[in-house]
Amino acid sequence: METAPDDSALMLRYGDGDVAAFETLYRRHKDAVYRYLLRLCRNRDTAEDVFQEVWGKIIRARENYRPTAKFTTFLYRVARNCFIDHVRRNKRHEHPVDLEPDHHPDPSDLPETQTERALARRRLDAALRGLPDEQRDVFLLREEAGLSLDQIAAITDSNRETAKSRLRYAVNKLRKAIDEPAVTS
Amino acid sequence: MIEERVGATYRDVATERTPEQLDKAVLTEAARAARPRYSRLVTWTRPVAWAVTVMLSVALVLQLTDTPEMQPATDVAPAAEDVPAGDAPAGATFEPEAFEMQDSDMLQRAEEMARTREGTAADNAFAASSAVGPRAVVAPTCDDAVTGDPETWLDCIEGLEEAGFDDEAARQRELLTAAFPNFESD
Repeated sequence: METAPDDSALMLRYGDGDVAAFETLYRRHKDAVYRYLLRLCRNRDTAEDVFQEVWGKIIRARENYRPTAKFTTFLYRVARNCFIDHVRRNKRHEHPVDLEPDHHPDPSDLPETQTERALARRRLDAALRGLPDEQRDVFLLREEAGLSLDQIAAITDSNRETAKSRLRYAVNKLRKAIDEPAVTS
Repeated sequence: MIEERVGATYRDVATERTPEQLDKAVLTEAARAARPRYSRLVTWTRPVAWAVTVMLSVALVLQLTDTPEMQPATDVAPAAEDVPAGDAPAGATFEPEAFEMQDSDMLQRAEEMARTREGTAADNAFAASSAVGPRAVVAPTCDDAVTGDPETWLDCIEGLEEAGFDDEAARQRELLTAAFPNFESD
C-alpha cells in the first residue's frame, strides 16, 4: 500500500519546481493554519492577511529549505512570527469579531444538534478569547498542529515545563467553560 | 483525559475552512514562484532582437523607397490625358521619353543577340577547334590553337565555309597550304 509522501519530501520536491507537491502540502495544512491564525488574530480579515503572508514566506523559502526539523514545526513557527510581526506593525487596536456568522452548519444534523453545536462554539470561542495569549497559543498549537510539548516549547521560545504548565491551565479553563456554560455565556 | 475531552469539543466546533479566493491566491503565487526565471542573457536578448529587427526593417524600407528614382519610367503613373487612346491597354503606363529610351535599349540588345546568334552558329561548326567562347567571336577565324595540326585546321576551314565565311575560309586555306605544303587539303 502506498503511503502519503512526507511533508519535508513534498517541500523539497516543490523546491525542485514540482508545483503539485506544494498543492498537496498546502491542502494538508491550510485549514489548521487558518483556524490557528483566526483564533490568534480574532479578526477574520487580519487572519487572512497573515495567512497569505505565511504561505508567501513558505513559498519563498522553498529553495533554501532543509528538513532539519519537522515541517509542521517550521510552518507554525513562521505562522506565529508572522502574527507577532503583524501585531507590532499594527499597534492600533483591532476589534475582535464573533466568528460564529461564517460557520455553515452541517445540513445532515438535526436542528437540536445544530443548536447545541452553535452554543458549544460560542462558549468555546468566548473561553478561548478569555485565555491569556500564551495559554491560548499553546492550546492551539497542540490542537491544530498536533505538536508535542517539546515542539511547542521550541516554537514559543520556552522550555517543555513552561509549555506543559500553560497547556494545563488552558485546558482546565476551557473545561470549566464548557461544563459551566452559564458562567461564560 | 480532561485534555482529550476539551480537545474533542474544540475539534467538533472548530470547523472553519480557508476561503476559496485565499486558496487560489496562494496556489497562484506558488505556481508563479516555481516558474523558471529568465537569465540575464535572455532578458537582454529580447530587446536587442527587437531593435535589430526594427533597424533592418527601416533599412529595407529606405532601400525600396530609393529604387523607383533609379527607374522612373516603370513606376511613375502618367496623367490620364497623356495616354493615347487605343495605344495602351487598360492600366498600362505611357511615357514617351521612357518609350524612346526603352526602344533604343531594346534595339541595342536585339543587335547584340543577333550578333551572338551568328557567332554561335559559326562556333557550332568548328566547336572542336575553337578555344574561345561563342560570345567573344565577332569575326570568325581559325586561331593558333588549331593551326598547329593540319587536320584540325582543315576542319576549322570547312566550318567557316559552311557558316558562309568564304573569304576567311579561302584565306585560311592559303595559310594552311603555305604552312603544310605536303598536306593535301582537298
